[in-house]
Amino acid sequence: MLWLHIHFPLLALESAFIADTRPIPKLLLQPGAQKVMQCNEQAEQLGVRTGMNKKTAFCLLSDCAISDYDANTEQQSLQQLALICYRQAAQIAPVEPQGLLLEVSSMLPLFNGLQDYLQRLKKRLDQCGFSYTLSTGHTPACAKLLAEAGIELHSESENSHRQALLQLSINQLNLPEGICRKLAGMGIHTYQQLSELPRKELGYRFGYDLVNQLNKLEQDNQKLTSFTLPERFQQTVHLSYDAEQARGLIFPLRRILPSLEAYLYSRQLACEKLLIKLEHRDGRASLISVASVKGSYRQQDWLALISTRLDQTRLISPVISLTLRAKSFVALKSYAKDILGSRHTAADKDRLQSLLVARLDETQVKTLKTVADPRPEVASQLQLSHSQSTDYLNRQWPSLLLPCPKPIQMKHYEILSGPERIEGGWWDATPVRRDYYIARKGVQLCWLFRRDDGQWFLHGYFS
Amino acid sequence: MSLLETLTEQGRIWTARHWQQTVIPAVSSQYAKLDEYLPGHGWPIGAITEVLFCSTGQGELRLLLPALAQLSQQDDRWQLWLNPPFIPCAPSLTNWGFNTQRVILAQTHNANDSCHCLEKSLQTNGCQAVVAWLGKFDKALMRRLQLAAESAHVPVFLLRSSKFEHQPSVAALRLLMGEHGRIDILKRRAGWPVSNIELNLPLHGNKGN
Repeated sequence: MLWLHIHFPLLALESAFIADTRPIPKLLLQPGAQKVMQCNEQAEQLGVRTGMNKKTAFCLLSDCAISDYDANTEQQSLQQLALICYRQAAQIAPVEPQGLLLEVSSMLPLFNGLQDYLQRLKKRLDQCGFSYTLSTGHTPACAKLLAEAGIELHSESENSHRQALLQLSINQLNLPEGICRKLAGMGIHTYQQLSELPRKELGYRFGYDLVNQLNKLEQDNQKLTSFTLPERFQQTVHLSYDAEQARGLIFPLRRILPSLEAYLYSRQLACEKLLIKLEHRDGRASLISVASVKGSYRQQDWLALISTRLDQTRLISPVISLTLRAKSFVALKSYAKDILGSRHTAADKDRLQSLLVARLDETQVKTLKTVADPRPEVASQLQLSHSQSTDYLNRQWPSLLLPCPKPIQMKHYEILSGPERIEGGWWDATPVRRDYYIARKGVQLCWLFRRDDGQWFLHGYFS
Repeated sequence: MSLLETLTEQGRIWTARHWQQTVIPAVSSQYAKLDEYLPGHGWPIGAITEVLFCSTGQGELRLLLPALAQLSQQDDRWQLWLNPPFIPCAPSLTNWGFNTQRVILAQTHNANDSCHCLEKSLQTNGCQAVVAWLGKFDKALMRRLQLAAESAHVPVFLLRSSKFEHQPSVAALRLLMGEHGRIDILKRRAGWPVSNIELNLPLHGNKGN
């Protein structure tokens, strides 16, 4: 079997600063311990090292961003990365705190060899913006050690993995510190030297843990706790700054959308509604909901809708964190593509509708509804754009109707034709009996009616 | 091909003798008499047509309805009607030959919203025609709209009050429905302005029964 381990060396740091793209030194501090846990390249160039005292680090840096280590954030990012890789692995297991293990051999027949497989996987990972090293291995433990040591070996042969392992030093084997020291004291510095020693004697001297660990490197019989898709999608981003403009929230959201797409696609679902919960600096919370008419899974669609929505939003106060939740799932429907590659698809049509709703609000976007009824105001109605129910009625009425008939003075109008009697509604509360006339007022052609009591009304325009 | 030929072919310049031969994509207005005057023999596709009128009920919509009705039967994209002043009457549109399920109505509150909606709608490729009742609309917004219409390749109709007659406009075709009930073409591609076209606009569509 072939395994692939992806190691994310700066996972905690990068997820803590997910919404902060400033190229300045960034430090992740271990809470309580006053030590630098992770630092980025910029900090390293200025001399900061992992494990360094916090105060020493501050002396080296003039300007830097700091954050405390948060295991939850790190774990959530790892889950997000597992989602991204989900489509490309039969079995996938998060190796906490900062690795993912993928079973590769069963996937290779579906791709053009290992290089092609890795290329596609890297393309996905690059979208997320986390730094990573990945290495194959004939056992999970071997892949993990190679990836963590930064040796990016991409090979299908067992032999080359064994060769690569031999070059590792004792310190790179993840052994307990005490054992490392003892081995060094005995003059054993590399895995090669260690592997040549008789196992039984090693066990006698160092305990069976060491032997087990060495066996794991060579034998492939581990059980995986496989990653399964969660039932719902929810992700939180803590901003390392205060976002004062609604538009400023697009960037952190853009980081979440790829995993939303991966999640929805993996479950073959489309989502009709996203809820974005904002937590504000002053402790209040607010909710923004974004809807897509027929549901969508594609991140571009959602990005367009979200940015339209955010353009319309005014923040009540600066935002410090946001949570994206997907709601109302529907089965993913594939839009049929025209065999001739016709330019317009049903998806375009739905996108238009969603965009209008996102910009103007649901109540401002309507479609026409016909009800088979003699009364014009009942027969011709407007409905919310997502409901499409309509009868068939064909009448020689004017093209525009007033929302409600307007009483008029008859002397301004000149009658051209009529009357046409419209009577109905005795079966409900608003019966009408009217005589309709077509009349002229200047250049306007109007539709008037006279009620039984002689009062004239204007009801429409032959626009 | 020389610049001159390209421009001639697109109908941006024309020779006095051959002006009727320029090829301009258009959809027939279904009024034979009007088509004769319109470049490309119909409403231009991928360009803005501006219809200026004095008051609602003058026939400004009836002028467009036959062409719009035909478009609504052609494919299943939306026909966007933006800011109609009153409620479009579905049974009447059916009478004009409309597929009323294709019409989507949107109401906006300001010119920015209108422009955004029109532009986005045209960009999504999800609409077959646009009819918008617009008030004041500044030059920059109009220019954006013009570009969107060009790339979407659909007819865009703007219905506006005749008080905007003397405002410069980027519309490819401008018509004025005057107080006297006749139509003036204020501006068209590949042709001169024409005035006093008498056109008999029927009150009803008389279709679909």
